[in-house]
Amino acid sequence: MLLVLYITILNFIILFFFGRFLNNLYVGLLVVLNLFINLLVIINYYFIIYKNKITININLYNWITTNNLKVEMSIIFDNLVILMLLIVVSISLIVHIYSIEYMLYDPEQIKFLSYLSLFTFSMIILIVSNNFILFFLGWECVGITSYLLINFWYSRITANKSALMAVFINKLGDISLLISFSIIYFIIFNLDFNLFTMSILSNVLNNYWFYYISIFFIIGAVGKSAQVGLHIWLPEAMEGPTPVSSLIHAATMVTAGVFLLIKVNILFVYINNICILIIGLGSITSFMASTIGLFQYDLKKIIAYSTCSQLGYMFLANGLNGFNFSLYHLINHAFFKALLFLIAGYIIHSFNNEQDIRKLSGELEILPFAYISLLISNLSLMGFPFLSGFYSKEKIIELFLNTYNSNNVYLLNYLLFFQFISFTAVTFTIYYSVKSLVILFFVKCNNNIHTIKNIYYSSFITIYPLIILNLLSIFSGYLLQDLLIGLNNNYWFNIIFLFNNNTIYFEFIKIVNVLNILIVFYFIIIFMIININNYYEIQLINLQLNNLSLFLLKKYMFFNKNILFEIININYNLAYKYIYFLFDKGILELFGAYGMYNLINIGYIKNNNLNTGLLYHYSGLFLYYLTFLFILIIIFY
Amino acid sequence: MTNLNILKLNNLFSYFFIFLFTYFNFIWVIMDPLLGNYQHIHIINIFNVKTYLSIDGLNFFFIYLTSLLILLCLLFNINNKYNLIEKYKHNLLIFSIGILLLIVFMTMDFLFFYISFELILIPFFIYIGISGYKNRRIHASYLFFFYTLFGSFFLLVSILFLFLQIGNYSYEILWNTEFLENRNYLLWFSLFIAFAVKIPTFPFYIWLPEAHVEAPTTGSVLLAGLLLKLGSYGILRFLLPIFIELNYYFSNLVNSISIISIFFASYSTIRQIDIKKIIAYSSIAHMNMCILGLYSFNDIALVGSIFLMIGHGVVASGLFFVIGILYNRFNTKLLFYYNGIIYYMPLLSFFFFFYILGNISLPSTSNFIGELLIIKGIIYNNYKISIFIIIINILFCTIYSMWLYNKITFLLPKFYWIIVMDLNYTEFLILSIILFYVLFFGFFPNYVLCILDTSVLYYYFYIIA
Repeated sequence: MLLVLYITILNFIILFFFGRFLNNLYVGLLVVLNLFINLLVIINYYFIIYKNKITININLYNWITTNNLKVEMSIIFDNLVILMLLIVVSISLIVHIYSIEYMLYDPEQIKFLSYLSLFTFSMIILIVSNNFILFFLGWECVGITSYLLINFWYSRITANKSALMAVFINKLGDISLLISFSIIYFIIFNLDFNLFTMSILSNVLNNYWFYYISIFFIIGAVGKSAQVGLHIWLPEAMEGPTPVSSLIHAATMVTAGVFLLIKVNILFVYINNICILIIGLGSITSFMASTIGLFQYDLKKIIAYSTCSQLGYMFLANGLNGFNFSLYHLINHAFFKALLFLIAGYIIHSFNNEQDIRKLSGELEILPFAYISLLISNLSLMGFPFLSGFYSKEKIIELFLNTYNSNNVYLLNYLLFFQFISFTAVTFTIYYSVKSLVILFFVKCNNNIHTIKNIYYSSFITIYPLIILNLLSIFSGYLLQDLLIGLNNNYWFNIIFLFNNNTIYFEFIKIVNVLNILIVFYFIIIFMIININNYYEIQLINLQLNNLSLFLLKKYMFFNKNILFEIININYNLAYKYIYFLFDKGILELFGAYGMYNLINIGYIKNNNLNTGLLYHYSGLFLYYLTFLFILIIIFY
Repeated sequence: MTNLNILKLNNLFSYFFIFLFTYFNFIWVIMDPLLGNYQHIHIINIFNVKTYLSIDGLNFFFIYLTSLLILLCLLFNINNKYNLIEKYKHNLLIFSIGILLLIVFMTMDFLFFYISFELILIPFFIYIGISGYKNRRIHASYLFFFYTLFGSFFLLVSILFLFLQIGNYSYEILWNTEFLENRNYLLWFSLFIAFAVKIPTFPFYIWLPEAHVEAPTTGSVLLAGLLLKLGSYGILRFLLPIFIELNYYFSNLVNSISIISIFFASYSTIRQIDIKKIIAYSSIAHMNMCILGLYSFNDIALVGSIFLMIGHGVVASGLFFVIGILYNRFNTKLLFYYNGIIYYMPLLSFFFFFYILGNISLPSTSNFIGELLIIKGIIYNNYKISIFIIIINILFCTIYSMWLYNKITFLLPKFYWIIVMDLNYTEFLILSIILFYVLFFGFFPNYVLCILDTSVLYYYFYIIA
């Protein structure tokens, strides 16, 4: 079982320390082979754990032991963990294969592969950890490797800036997680996941500290999963190479926050008041990210904002206590979003690293494979019926219907608002996906003849993994439906709290399902018509929505970037003007050694002036002191 | 003296500390983790003055750190571009500082503690004064000397008071005596000022960045790694055990002072342009975190703050070595001139990255364990403002450390006309030894904690409470 960990760290060691002595292609193939073995091992254990309904606990060694605190390097494999491992390692394998060719002409390809392996290793640690501190180790290492990978082309200043932004904003979430772990320790004197759930189930529930814990958990998850407020780093992180965006910023790392909420799901089941916060965050994020996505023309940024909005849906599902729905959407999203990014990389690579979709237009005849894959993945993203995105996304929106039945009646108004927002976000998602499809493939070609003649066609190394991802993003929803969100399933026995109200509204949901299908069709057709009307003049879209777009750009950009920059600016000025100049260089020096030094210096100069060498000066001084002395004597007698 | 004799003496210093280092390694193995009291007592009889140098769990890691860092400093001076006699001078100063530090940490008399505590000033004053090229170095050394002398007057007065009260210089008697109420306040304040200058806390900290900037590399390694720990070690030995009720009484004062200094240090760090000043200010913030841990009256936080001192000693000295290596190559400490180091010094940037990760307390590095334990202790005592300040500290530490690393290593290089070597063997050895300790303390802290834990428990229950 530990082979899963050993193989990935072995990959990193081989690549990082010995990779320079080996051939690029062979070492890449070796790593891919290792990962494939890893995947086989995981599949094997998946069946073992699933069939026998067991959890495997392995204790490596005692990490931190003081008289009260005991933290072990202990790892756990249960149904949730092994499924998540399966997803992460399979997508990591595909991205590794993809980047063998994608980064072939980069002089530091081996370094890139080694960072990818390190990322995979830390993500595996995050998933398999059995206590909060080991989880935190994985959580932080994932952030640091993400820094290294965004900053992979380190001579570019934009890459540097966005990597630093990612680290700083993630750190806010990390600190809140650290504090929440400390509060947990303060309550239950232990940091194991199992004991934490046990303590919630027991009578510790009345403790008001649990509110603090859940709020800190949510802040941590918001930082990592790029929800509203701390979402700014995700679109900026697209500066990195495309495989990185695919693996880290779509499929695995950004879902770590959602995974954390799933892992401690029992907390949110019992504290219902906090759930409305998660629902609000998720729905606002999905709405806002999709509306910003409408006006983006950078191919990768469109996908990044769509990732942000889909993460909002996962968050929302967690808030509605549909944790298995959230995980289901996470898996489907991982497949089609990884495909979307990889195919975007394929297009960008073949068009001489151009990212603006207005310049990439009209490539239906040039890149047919890209068209097929982008169509499948985009339709899956929109929730086109019977593709994988449909199964999960529609289910999450339907979850709102279940909550009307539950105890949260007093929150009904909020819930209605959030439901409305998330419904509109679906239509906006459809709009921008259709827009990018139309502009990329149906509009007349805008490129110059030189780039079209020198188009780079990727070889089978890139194509085959994409075909696998295509198949997965078509079928994964259907295949996993009964396993994860089926009625009366016993896959989540004791791991995830299941919502039992599904059965009551089953008939009603069928009608809503049909309605959803119709809505998706309807909007796809409408937006196709809108976009095809603007067949030749893409700028028209901007002109028509000029006022709206200006509003969105200006006001949203405030949330997007300016609010952060304002805070940084204020702190920067505070640091320089007030703290450094007023205190360190001002008051502390004036009343400290510098002031003393100056005082002595001035006294010394004044004393020096008295030593003129003239007799009448000395005699005058003598008289002066004498009179002073007399006056003193007179006074004291 | 001939050159050969000087060379022999130079070697003698390093042999002596190699011997000490191996000896302390041996002691680490045979340390009894179940015994909280003093374990290895060496009786020393010089000129009919009998003193005891001894080791227990509290001071052992300071001693270990001293022998390690002095050894590394002596190693680092091999590569210096000074001539042989100047090298001998430097090594002599480092050697004397090391010996005095060992006496401070190991002694059981507080008279000897005072004498060696103050004697360290003299070689260090000379060390800052003789090396460097700017005129400001003299100013910095005066600043260093006067600030610490200001504290030491208070220490002298209070130690005389203590002696008049108990008629003996032994720690163990000191810990068991009680003082009159009027004297208590005076003694507490004078001792606190004496140690607050060394930590350094808010009103007294401006000597540290100046001294760091003007000191040579090895000097700032010793300053950050060892001399800063003297203040908190003094608090551990004097303030906490003697004045039991007064500590609780003044705990809010001490906490607020350290909160202010963390806030000020972390805020002024983000606008510094000198690399050494950045690390110096960050070490102020880290040391004040230790004081927060010491004054939360909690055995977990006590263990955590001692661990953070050790971890910070390792990490900060590694950072200063890196800066020293850069300074040897490029002759500047200003951040503006550095860009794209990774193009010509990939090995250095590898090590530098790990030390920066240690500074921002990534899990699995040494600082993380300490900060985790301190945060746990503070939350246990429910000091909410301290938690907020710790958040600010960690966030700002991340900001300036990552920004520093990013500015130095990445982007396009500015020194494209200079031919530079990557690390040579001695530098590689030094940096890899420090990296080993950073990761060792991070991944296997139990080897440290098992010794610290019992002695802190003994200290906490038998001496403080």
